[in-house]
Amino acid sequence: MNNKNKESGRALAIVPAYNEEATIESVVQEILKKVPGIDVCVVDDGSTDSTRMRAQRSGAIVISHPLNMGIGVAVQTGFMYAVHHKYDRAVQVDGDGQHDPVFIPAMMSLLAKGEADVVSGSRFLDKGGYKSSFLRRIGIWFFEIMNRVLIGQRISDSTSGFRAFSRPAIEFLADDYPEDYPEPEVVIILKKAGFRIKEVPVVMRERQGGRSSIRGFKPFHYMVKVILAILIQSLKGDKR
Amino acid sequence: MKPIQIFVFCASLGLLIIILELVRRGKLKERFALLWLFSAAVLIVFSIWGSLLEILARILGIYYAPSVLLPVVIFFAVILFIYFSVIVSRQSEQLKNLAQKIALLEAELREKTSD
Repeated sequence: MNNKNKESGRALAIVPAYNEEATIESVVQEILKKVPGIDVCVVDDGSTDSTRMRAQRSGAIVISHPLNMGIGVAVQTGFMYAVHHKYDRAVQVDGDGQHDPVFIPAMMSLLAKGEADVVSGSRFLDKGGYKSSFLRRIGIWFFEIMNRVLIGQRISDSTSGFRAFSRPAIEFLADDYPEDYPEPEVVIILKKAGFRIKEVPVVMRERQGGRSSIRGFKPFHYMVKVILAILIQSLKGDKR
Repeated sequence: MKPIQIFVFCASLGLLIIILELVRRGKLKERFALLWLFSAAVLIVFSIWGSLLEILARILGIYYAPSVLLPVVIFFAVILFIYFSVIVSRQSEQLKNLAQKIALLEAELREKTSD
């Protein structure tokens, strides 16, 4: 299963997917093609379409939630799988084709060199590519300020779901991972637990299928929930 | 007894019977029934002992006795809602753990049988 990998150790790509039948196969195949030696684990979050069948067909390990539990739970299930099957590194990749796997080897090698425990792909460190909607950029800018104040580090893209994790970070997050709109909160949790986070520039594509999980009235709910969660997290004290 | 007292007494008794019947049919668990049984009991006490409200009002310094009920009812309702929110949170956590466990076990089972 794992042939040659530049760095020693096994790597797992965790792809949370909820009704992503249009893109899931090409996402899995692109990862397998561009990242030699990686295993792909699709966490089907109770999809009602053919996501599960297509993911299995494309050569991924498929874990299917019996119910739709939300993206945070899906990612956590992926971490649990990675812990149980003793993977050394894991990278989270969205199921809608926004994330180009071509960046994964570079992210992984930062982990392997021990330069960081978590490597997060940021679309704002470099020019070009899809920068997301105006409203979302305002939200991201707001989180940037919040992060500076709370954890003293500049995180330019805290809503990024394109992240690579070292084994200790995987174990830590398999235990406790925020359920809805998890990305900005995870940054705080990890930082408070003493993990080193490093951002690398990536180019994101516009989604190739499906719909954003944040639409309608949800942006407002998103901001309130995330701000509240971040404040609560920073009140909780250190976990590790 | 004033007519209103008889009415309240009958209504409270009705409430008590409905709760007991729900428990008996297994539609309401005993642990949740306790709070409701308690509230029904309190209502019955108030309907029988008419001057209790006035005594309470005098202690609390409230001129119009029936307005004692309002803060008491709101207080109980708020406690109940918080209690239910806690239960809902606990259940969704349990549900999450269960769903993840099933998903992982199923994936493992498939791996084993495909070998």
